[in-house]
Amino acid sequence: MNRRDFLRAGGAAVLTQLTSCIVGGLIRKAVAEAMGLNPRNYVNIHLEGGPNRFTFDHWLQAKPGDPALDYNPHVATYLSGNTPSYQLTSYRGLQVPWLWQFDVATGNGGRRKMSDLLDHMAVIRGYSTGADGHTGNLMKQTQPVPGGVNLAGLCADRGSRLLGAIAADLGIVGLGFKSGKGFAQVKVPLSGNAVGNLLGDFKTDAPLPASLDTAVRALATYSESDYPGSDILKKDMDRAVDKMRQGVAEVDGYWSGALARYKTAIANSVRPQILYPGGIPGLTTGDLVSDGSNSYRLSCYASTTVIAAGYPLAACVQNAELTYLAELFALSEYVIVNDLAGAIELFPLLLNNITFPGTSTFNGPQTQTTTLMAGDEHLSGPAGTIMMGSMLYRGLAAGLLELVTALKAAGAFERTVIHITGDFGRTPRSGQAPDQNGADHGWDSCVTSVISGLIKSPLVAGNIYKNKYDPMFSSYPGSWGQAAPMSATGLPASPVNVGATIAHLLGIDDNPWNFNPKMLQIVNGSVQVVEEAKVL
Amino acid sequence: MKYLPLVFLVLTGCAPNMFMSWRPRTMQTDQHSMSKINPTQSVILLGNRDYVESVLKQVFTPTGNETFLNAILKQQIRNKMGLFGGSCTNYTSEGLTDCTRDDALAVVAESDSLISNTQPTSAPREARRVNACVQITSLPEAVSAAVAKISGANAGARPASPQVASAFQLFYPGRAPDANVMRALSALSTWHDVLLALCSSPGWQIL
Repeated sequence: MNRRDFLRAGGAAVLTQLTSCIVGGLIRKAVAEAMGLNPRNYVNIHLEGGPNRFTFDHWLQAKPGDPALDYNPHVATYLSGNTPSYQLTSYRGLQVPWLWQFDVATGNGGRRKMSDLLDHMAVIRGYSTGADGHTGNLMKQTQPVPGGVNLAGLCADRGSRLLGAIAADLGIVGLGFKSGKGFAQVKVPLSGNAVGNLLGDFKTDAPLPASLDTAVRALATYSESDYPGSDILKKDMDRAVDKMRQGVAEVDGYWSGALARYKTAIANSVRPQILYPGGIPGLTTGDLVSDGSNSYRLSCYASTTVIAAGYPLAACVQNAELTYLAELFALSEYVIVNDLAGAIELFPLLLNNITFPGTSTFNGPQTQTTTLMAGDEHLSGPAGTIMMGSMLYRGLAAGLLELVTALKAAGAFERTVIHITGDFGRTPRSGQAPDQNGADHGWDSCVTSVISGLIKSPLVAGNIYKNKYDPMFSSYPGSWGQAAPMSATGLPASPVNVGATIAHLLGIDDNPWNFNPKMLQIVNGSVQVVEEAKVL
Repeated sequence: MKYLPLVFLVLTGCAPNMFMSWRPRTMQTDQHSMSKINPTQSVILLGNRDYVESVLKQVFTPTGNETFLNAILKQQIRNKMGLFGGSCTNYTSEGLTDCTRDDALAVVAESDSLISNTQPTSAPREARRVNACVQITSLPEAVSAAVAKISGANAGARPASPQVASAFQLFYPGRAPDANVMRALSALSTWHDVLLALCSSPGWQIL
């Protein structure tokens, strides 16, 4: 190669690199502008108490080649007579619990396949928090390193939306919230119009005076420079004034319409007779009646009650509801579509208004008791758990599908990550009569789900044991999803792996957990599993 | 002109690293999208609803009319304990009218008694505070009350620099305004604007 050829070749290479860099830079800039320099919207729906999820998203035999379970009746998904069993249905190459093959209701009075949700859903199973306890485990689901920032706080820190993070003002929501920069999590009252409550703070009786702009500019430098962290305060004030100037739209029309839509979808799904007058096979058909044994015992608030012998399961839930869930979804839809907040944390109540005659542990025989499901199902028997859990998850799925439909219509689904957590999985007791019905804290068998427009097909990540001999869990026989090692580390996954994964999906790769292997990753715009999920 | 290509490369982020420090601040990527860990900032401690209400009352309440601002303050500050912090107790001086009451037990409801005594910054909090400032400074009596606390000032006259520095002390006692602040405030032509600027500035809430 002579000097001229060398320069020509070198020049071409440099030119190619420069062109690539310039074009790439412009594309990155365009993408950043399109995303508004914000992470994706984060919605955390937490199922308080850690209810059994084996009927929904705690998948133990997800691949056709996975080994059969060492069966424990507390992981059952199906009832035949009084016999629970583990029945699955196939969907797009995966084996998912029985419940998924049925329809749920839509907000306009129609019906759709519950499995539509699977098209955009990834399950992360087989991780261990390392220790027991409700509060600590609840917090670790979104705050992987105790005391550090949590996922919602991280979104607030990295975002520039009007509100860093919000939560419905319900129960203990926000327990694990932590922003590294001092942003608050704004609690929104659910009474009346929740969106109106959220925006009410920004309403003004009259337009802000023009002099306020001058005033705001005048002291901007002062507030920014004097104290560490005061720039966050200034940023909040700027956002507030901007929003007050824009004005607050009337939201009564939105709220009543959206609330009705979600209420219809959820109520018509948790009350099985509405879509399935003859009952849902394996769950609520007329032949499924309590035999009065502890298999039909329900863990409920303030009581544990066995459904009276002869009473049909379908009748227990004919008036059931998911209190506040419609409000939570309607609030989330508005907030995401209007890009108002970076993170939303929701702790819905579980299945409510369950009505049946039975015998209460504390109060003795009851001709009729109306109660609220408790997530901490220590004493729920297999049959009761299947019925109660299935209706809970039908309602949750119906609400989620309604939200997904709205987000798709608004073009917001791909910039949203919905994260369904519980305190932990559940370790099932032996199920032996008379008193070994129930399931305890599954901190070594956690599961969580992610729903997003970034997910294009049902996915499962995380390794589990089929049945590990573990003296610590010798009271819990069979297969229940105990965490097994990841290939990348040789150790079971833990909340830091989940945190790194969710943060990555949110678009925040510079997160505090990013040196831990992820379990899902975005490749060419869609989510894939990092390691094929296995049963060891 | 011969440096134009280099300027172009610098501005498009494609220049060699040694030129990258030349990028003007306005071209730097927002910190939210930076692919490196940013140091966490100290979290400031803000005064709660009692503190914010107290400052506004001290500055703007006309002599002899102690309840003059109560309606505004109650609507924007006092009743927003979730935003400003400041839990309720059974000894709250306003006879529990700003608290949710548990009638069965005749005490403050647990939801209100458990609220943190301080709350961090948030946009809704700032909206409420700015709204309070706008509403209060729209009342000539409130502006006059504040101006009356400034030696030599007259509510109807253009604020003079020494008086503006005194006004600053109403919100930031013990602190002197720097030259930039003085320049900005002195450019304002009415006491309404000066007081609205000071009241709306967020820094005085910092403890």
